[in-house]
Amino acid sequence: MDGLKAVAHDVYHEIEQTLYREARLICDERLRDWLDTMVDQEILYQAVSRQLRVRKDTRYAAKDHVNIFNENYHYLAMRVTQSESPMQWTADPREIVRHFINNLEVYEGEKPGEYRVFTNCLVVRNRRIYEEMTYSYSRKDVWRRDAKGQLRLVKRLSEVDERFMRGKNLNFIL
Amino acid sequence: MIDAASLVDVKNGTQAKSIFWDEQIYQLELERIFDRCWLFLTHDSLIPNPGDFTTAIMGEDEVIIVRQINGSVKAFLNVCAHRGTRVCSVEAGNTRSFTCTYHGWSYGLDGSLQAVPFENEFYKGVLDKSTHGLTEVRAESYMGFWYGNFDKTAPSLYDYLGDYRFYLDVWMDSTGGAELIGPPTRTLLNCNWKTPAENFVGDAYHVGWTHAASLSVLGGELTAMSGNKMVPPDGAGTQITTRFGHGLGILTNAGPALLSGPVGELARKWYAENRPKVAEKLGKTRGGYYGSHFNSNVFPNNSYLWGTNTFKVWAPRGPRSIEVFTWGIVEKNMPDEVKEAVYDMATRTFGTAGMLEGDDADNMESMTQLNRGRQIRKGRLNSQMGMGGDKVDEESGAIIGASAVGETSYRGYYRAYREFLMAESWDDLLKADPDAWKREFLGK
Ligand code: FES
Ligand SMILES: [Fe+2]
Repeated sequence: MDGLKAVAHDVYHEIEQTLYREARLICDERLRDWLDTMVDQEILYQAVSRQLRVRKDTRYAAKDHVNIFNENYHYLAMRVTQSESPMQWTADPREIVRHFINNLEVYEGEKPGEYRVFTNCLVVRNRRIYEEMTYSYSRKDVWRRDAKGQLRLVKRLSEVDERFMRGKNLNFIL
Repeated sequence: MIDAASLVDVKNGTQAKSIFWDEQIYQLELERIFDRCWLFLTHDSLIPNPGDFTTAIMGEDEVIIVRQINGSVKAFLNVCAHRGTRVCSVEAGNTRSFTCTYHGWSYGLDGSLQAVPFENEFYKGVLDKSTHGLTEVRAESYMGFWYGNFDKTAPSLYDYLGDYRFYLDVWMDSTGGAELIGPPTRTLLNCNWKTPAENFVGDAYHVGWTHAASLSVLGGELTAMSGNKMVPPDGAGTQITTRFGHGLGILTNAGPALLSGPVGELARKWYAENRPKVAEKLGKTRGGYYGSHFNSNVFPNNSYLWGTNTFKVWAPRGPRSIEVFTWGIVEKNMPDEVKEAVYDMATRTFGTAGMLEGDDADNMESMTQLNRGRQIRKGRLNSQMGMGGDKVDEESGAIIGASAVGETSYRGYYRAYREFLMAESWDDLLKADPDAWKREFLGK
């Protein structure tokens, strides 16, 4: 199927647990732990929104997507540090970013110890008193084992479904 | 009936809070501001070829902007002349015609009605195709930036921008022009459309506090302001306002503002190389402004930041919510490497997950939504900072404030806002002598 090779059941289970752990760390605002224990130094962390075009339109040359995230490790770390600042007013009182992760597929990656991971995500974000927002998006990840055998996120491309973002912004870890 | 005169107290620098909430005031704004002012549509760089088009929102009206075969540009209401369906349901593209999906009427790039299915069989000669084209909207451009206007009696875009062009040109003209990078992001904010516009036109005050956390990590010239640890020194910048409310704030030499590391170096190098050329072309004053950080708003709802390279439209959706359109803005002649680097940072700071973008939203929403309360809504907004220090700048003809941080541009924005709401027409607006607004503003 698509030239993709499914992984053994124990690996599938391991990745599934890893994704759930990641979601829990984000929900618990343990972003430093997430960065230190789950993110690879070579991370390319991207999210895009696509402009609506006529399907058959091939003559319009301008690019059809806009980045929402385009982060390497340096910039992800910057965002984590920002979230830890006592002066990050938007996060105080706390906000809750709860991931619901579904449709998990895991395949062998390009190199041994690398895995291609597809998921659908629904995030319900609660903040302040009156705000509850939902986000639906797909994720294409690459996870890789580090020297210690620990799985780390090397690549993530999220495609956000909603073109007009009713959830105002995506200032959280997708 | 709304007492428009009382909504803004020009002399005392205050505004009624109801301007962020009231439905009747909003309807008056649509009629007297959005039906009259030049509203941003698109940039040449996004529609380079014949048949290229983008869509936009003017007030609450959807429009299409399309490059003609002869290279000119026309704008139309995005609505079919038959039963009123959208004729274009995508955001951008290249086409030979716009065909309505309801019954299939088809319009040419020039808006003319070209084809009607079964015209002879069903209409038997009663339909006058020549009067059923798309409704054209007046469109003009300045330095490649296209704006539309619903009012045939409005002055040209050039005159509407007026003295503001003196400042606009620092970026839009100096090194060979500016261009936008699309597609835009599109997001909802539950705020009145003026709350971000006033913030971008003249609020350097909030930067160190609202954005304390993001400034502390980003690096660049503005980091020192994080947590209000530093007051910008005298001469660090100025605020500027003009006849129709267009205004800006300049933080001198803070161009790359939020750019640290290699991106900051690239940007600073580009500015340093070009500053002497700009000084030669536009004079010493503007050579000094070039490479500074600009926060700016073209009245009523088109904001941009130079140095952080973001360009926005705050399209109203009723009095209490808006659609935010965000593009990147760069100098055309920047090397690709510099363009990409500064655009990437613009995404990181003011895009959909912008490190500063998220900070501003809570302020704008609460200053809107709290007016649900009758008592709160009765109150006034204060924009008195720097009053008494404003003066006419002889070189540009604009009014400038005495310091980098102040509320001069707020006051100019709302002075114009009041004038638009009170005026019956453009004739009415233009009958005063060209300096009357300055006397009103300065209380003379
Ligand atoms: S409404 Fe457009 S063709 Fe009928
Ligand atoms: Fe801000």
